[in-house]
Amino acid sequence: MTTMSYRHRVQSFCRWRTLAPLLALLFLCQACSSPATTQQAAAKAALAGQQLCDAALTTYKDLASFQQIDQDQQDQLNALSGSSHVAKTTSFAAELLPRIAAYQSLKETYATFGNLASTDFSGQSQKAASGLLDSVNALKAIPKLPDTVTKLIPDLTAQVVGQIQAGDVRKHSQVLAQLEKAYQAAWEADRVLWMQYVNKVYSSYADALPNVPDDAFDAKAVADQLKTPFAQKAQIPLFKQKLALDARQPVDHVEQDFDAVSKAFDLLQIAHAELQKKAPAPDVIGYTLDTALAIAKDVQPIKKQNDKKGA
Amino acid sequence: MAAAKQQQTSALDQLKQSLSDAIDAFTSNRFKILQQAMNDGGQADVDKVLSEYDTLRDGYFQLIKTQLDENNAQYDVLTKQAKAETKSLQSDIENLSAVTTVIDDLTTVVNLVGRIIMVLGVA
Repeated sequence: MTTMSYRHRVQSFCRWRTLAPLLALLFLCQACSSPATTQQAAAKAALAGQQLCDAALTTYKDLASFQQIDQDQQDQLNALSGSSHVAKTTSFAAELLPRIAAYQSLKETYATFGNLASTDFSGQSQKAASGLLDSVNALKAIPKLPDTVTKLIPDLTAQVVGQIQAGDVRKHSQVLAQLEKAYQAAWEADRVLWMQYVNKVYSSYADALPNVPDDAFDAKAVADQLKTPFAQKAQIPLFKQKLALDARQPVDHVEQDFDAVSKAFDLLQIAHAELQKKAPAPDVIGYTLDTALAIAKDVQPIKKQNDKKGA
Repeated sequence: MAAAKQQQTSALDQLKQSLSDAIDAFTSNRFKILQQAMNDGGQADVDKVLSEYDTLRDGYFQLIKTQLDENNAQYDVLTKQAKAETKSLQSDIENLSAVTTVIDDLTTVVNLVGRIIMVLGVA
């Protein structure tokens, strides 16, 4: 009789004091966007962000390679004029270092954002809550909780944790969007200067080529390399043109790197703006991030052209 | 202050343009100039001209470096901001993990209570 009365009291308490707020919370959680969607999108944004940082770091690696390109080209021109003078080239290592450090830090930030987004905190908490309830129910001295509560609490714990996680993703998306804006501004401010550098390396070589005396080249070796049906007197000017075109490739490559990183920044900012919303549009985020990932993945290091430059 | 900086940048750009024009003029006539130097003073003069050309180019690149260095401080700030955000993210990850840890700890306590009850024969 006493036990029945006690159980009745527990059930009554659960029904009105516990179940009502729990059900209200559950309703509120379901009214919001699906945390799983937000988490998946955020995990993808983290990947795209890391890829963007890799693209920026590749660009810096490409820029660093220009000192050697410059050295090879100037030494080649010196040799063509019969001089053994070794050209003095300028290192930009001191300028590259703080930029590389900044993008390595940003990459780490995106990786941590990925950990926040991809870890299944909901599942972990649900499992833990089920374990707790099993332990409570195993205590013979305490009356068993009603089945409704036993079922509801783990689900609710998971949903609440999922909502906290989605809220964190929204909060950090806002910070990341601001960071991206600042990084992009610095990227664009530098871009003009880096292009002035690589363009001058190129023009210091390519603009000198037309005036290289023809007898500086081995006509037979040039003909063998070009394999064109043109007369011999046309072969050397064509070869000079080829040398200039080959020298242009790394410059165009770097320009494309800069474009790609700028575009990836634009797209990531759109995705992070969407992720700040309570109900982000999965198709907008999906398309934007897929495009950003593809663009950033396209940024590859410059291939060495030393073997193409022999005169 | 901003006006003075703008004036300085403008002067730097003008100087850079002058150096760039001089480099371009030398490059386009490189072989004629070197031929002339060879005729005038032999290999020593050629090497001297080439050293001066290197200095001219280095001067131009140093001006670009100066302008890039002006942006260096920005990158230091960005690095600090990125690191602070990483720390904040780590803290939120720890908080989310803590929910599971707290529940697991509670489970351990409940299991312990269960064992004590059994040992004491309360149930």
